[in-house]
Amino acid sequence: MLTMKKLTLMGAAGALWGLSALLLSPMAHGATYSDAGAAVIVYPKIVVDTDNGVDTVITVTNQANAQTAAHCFYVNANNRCTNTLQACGDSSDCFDPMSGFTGACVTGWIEINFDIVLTPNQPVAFSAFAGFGNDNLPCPGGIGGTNCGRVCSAGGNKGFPCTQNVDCPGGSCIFATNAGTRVPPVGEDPFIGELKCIEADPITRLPVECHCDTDPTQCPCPADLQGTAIIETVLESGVIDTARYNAIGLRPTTFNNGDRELVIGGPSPDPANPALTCLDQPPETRCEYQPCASVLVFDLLFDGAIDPISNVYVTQSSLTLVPCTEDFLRQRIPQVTAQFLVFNEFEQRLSTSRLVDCLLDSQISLIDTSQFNRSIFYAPLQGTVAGQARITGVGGGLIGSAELGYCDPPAPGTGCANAAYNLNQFADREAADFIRIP
Amino acid sequence: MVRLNATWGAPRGSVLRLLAAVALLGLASSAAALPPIEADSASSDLPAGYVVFPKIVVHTTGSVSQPIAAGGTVFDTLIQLTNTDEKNPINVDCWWVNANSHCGGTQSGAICSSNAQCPLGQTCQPRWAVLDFQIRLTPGQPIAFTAASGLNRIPCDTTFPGPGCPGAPANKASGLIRPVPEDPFTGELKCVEVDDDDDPVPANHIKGEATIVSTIAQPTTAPGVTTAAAYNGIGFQADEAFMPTQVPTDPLCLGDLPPGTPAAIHCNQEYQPCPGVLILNHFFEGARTEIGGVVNTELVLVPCSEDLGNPARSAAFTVPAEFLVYNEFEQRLSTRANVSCYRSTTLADIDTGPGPSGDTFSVFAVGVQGTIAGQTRIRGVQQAPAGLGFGLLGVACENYHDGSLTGPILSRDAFNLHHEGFRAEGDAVYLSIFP
Amino acid sequence: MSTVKGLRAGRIALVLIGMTLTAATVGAEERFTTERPSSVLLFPKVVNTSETIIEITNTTNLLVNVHCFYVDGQSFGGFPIWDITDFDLVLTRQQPTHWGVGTGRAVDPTDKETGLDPGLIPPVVPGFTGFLACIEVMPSGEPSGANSLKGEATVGQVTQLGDPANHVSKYNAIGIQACGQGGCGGGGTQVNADNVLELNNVEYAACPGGLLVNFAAENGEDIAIGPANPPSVVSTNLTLIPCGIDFENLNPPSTLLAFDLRNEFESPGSTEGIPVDCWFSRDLGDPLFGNQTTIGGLGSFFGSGILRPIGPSLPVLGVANVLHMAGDGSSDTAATNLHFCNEPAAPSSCVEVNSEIRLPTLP
Repeated sequence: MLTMKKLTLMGAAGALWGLSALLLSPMAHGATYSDAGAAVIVYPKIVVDTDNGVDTVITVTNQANAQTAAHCFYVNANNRCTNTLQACGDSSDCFDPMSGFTGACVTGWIEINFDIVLTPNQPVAFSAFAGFGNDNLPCPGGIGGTNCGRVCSAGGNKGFPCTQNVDCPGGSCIFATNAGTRVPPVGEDPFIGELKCIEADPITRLPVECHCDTDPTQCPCPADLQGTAIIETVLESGVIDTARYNAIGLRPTTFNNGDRELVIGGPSPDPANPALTCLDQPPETRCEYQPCASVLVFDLLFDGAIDPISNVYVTQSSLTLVPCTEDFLRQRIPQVTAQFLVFNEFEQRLSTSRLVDCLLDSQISLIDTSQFNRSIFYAPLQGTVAGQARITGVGGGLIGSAELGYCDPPAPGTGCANAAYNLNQFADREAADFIRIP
Repeated sequence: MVRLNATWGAPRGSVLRLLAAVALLGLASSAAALPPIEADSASSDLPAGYVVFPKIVVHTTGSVSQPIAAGGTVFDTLIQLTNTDEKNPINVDCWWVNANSHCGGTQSGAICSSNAQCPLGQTCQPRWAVLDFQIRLTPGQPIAFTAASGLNRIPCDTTFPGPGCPGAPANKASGLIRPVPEDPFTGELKCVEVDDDDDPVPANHIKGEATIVSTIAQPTTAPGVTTAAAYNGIGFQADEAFMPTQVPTDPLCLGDLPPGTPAAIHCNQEYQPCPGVLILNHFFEGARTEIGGVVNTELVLVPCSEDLGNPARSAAFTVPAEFLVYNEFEQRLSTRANVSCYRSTTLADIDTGPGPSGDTFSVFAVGVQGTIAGQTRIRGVQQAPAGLGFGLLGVACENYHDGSLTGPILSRDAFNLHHEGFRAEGDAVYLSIFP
Repeated sequence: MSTVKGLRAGRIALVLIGMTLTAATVGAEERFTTERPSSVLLFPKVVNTSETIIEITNTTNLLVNVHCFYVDGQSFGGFPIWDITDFDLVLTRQQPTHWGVGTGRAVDPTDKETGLDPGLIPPVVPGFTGFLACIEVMPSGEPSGANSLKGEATVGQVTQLGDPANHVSKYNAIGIQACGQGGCGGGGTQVNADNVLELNNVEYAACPGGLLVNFAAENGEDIAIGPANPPSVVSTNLTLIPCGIDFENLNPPSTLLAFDLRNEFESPGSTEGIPVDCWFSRDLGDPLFGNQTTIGGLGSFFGSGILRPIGPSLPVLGVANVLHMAGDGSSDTAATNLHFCNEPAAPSSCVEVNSEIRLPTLP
């Protein structure tokens, strides 16, 4: 006999099925988001170079009306000299006067991790150079921390706002606190790298278990993080140039086993059966986050193009790509080959590829060559101002951001005003990506 | 004891049994050794569906990093391509394979050809990058371009019309030939006939030649030296009866899929196999011939198999090459060398290391061999299955020096290597996976 | 104890085994080729106005006999003189050999030409221009279809730095493969013992129906030399011989060709009635090509064409030799083998043609 409870459960199951199908169907668009709350947020480009007035302001926001925490990883992708192990831009930086030898400047990968605890609906901001710690926590909690609201300390409403203890069965109503937050400064100056933050349990530092498919009360799985990065350059003249992009988010599915391996997307157990998704895989390979994009669509102005509005400034763009897959547990440097398909306004197509060795941050006209005037991203070679680059990762997914600079002629790279922007996406990757955390 | 005048007629049983055995042997050996009709391997004298130009060289006065000054020698390579289909347009997808070496092995390192050109402590390491362009040729259309400049407008495209150009938009030319990505540049060019969706087609309409030209940059009072060396593109004919899978991750099969290929991979299109043996007729290094001067030979070898979509895989793939060297006394010596992505070497440097030091002791030296002319048979040595085959392709260039091998080069010529047999193990070329 | 029956049966068996094994080594598409071992080698351009070095190699592990013919391609009063000089070579297994046509090669182990002398090779006369044909034969002189030979010709000379005559170019000999049993598309047979080499896809491969020629506009700018050393000029010389030779009756072969061409803008052009009498060597600027291949007449910098016989005429074989001249007067030549046209359908219409090479009758 149908009861209200059964109907409710059936309705919930149906809604859940529909939500799963919607979330995991082979959509025409990729499933990373830069405009919605997510369970993992990725900042592909964090830059610090105080000698040149460059720093990055990072904001992390808790979109939920409950306390949450983020377990974060800085990836220091500075190149390093093989002989001195110092950070370098190119091999000319690797001359050792003591030995007279010049080392090679090769890709490096150093990871540090830390936690951010966020109170309900709280945004925090910090500079990558300075970090964020006990001295400047907005909600220090404790006796002196009365400037923030109150949340339940335990019980079923743990982390949710409250006004008095009766609102917190099994717990008490205390001042919300960011205690446990400690964002270190980036490891080096200059610094180039990425930041990944995973919504996690503040105690275990692992993703919160979520079995929405079997326990609808857990739905939806947490997706409360949102972020932006603002790359600031303070010029000698005192002018501040800013370039801002949204962190790219990976939204959750209806399942998370809370272990150290975050499964991002993946194939269904039977591709011939459209009703099956990666959620139908066995638990150890079941997807916990929606897949990374199959194609990143990068709309760009070719380097060296004359700005059609001012007819004076020359464009120069840069692109940052990081792999979707990251193995922090085994400390393996991820390598993905990025394939670029570049169309100009005449619909002419050129292509190239480049290895993304941990992180690729490059002026676009230096992606395919060491000589910018021979690049497929160089406007005089392409013959048009605008172009489209479609980027696919071979051996893994990619996440990225871009910057467009308008520079004083004659040479691009001098006196540029920059604006950062997110890349568009197309389709979902069929293969799984992973983030493995220690 | 031999009996004369024996008759053929009696007894026949044993003879018939012997003949039957011979017939069976013949059938067995035929079945085993007789290649299929399409097993004729790559050729440089017929239009094809996949064409390889193994040697492309550029170094001009316009180089950003290492421009040739006046009085120096500039190099460029002229490539001529023709659509031999006189009725239909064709699409051609081409890849520049950049085999430049860089100091320290990084893209930002200076382009180099030897360790001596790099700062102390850095080695000159090869990199391997692939860049593609696509063009559409009208029926029967020839085009030509230099590697240094490319071609930013194809004759008969909508922006470059001509009196004979087709009127229908579908038949017009299109595309953009990018120049090589670096100057100086060393590498190869590969072209495949494809359809509008970039899938290889079972057709054979591409023919091409490459001419490597050098001259002295002006103005200068230095003696003028211009050299020109031309060779035909090496063509692999597509099996016109094969149905392409049109799966972008599937490779072009040169013959069969090589051992080690995952079961899920199939041939996107089948082509003739790679040659089993490359045969190089040459003068031994340092020989003085009736032509004059002192001659040495540069050999370029490239693997038949490539992964153009994943350059890192190709860069890590090595084909051991075996060289059997015969002189005019029919005496044989041999040596081996590795071919990783691209190998350009003088013959004497194959077994003695780069540079002139030790060249007089090489198995390719005229003083070692004792004769002017030689035959070298080159083959890729099969290794453990790797999903990529161990075939080789090559082209040779002769340099005629003034006085000695260290003297200035007075003239050059190039020629295609001969082929013998075919590789039964198969080779594969993986194309870029276009999103 | 062996008997004649047994010996005879054994000989028959051995012959069958040999035939079978020989047949098993063919089966690929035997044809005219510039890079596969063959039974007949043709070197279209052999000159003693500079020098020509011939290299021939036996690619098998068996002893090979070769019968070669120099053919003088000069004409007097419009008539080819058709002067022929022949000689024999013996090549041991895998043996390469070489000689300069101007000096020949003696059988003299003490001379400066080290290596096994393949045979007495006469020098050609000064100023010789013509071609060389080498046919693989049995020791008795009958044709052999073992496809053992490959060859190259190096044409030119170098003297000293700055000499504008420093030119060297190299091309592969054009090979005619014997079909062998079941070869040449399935209808092939073994080479028979008569003196006629049938180029008919039964005994030997049939002649290709045309040649594909890519060329630069005659006297146009050489874009490869480009701005580095202007003004530059490029010129193409075509050397052609008919596909079919009669050494027995000493009839100089001749044929008439059509040259259908296009420029880069697909503008068509055509020249009909190009005569090839025994040996043809002309620049593309020659009036025979009707000014359609010059920079003024072609309408673009590059063109492509098909050289095809008119009517029942013989097709031709040949090489192209391109002169690249820079602004300072230095220059060089580069030779390439011409591609074979194998498309029988219109408009290419390159239909294979049967022909023959007739050897002198053996006494």
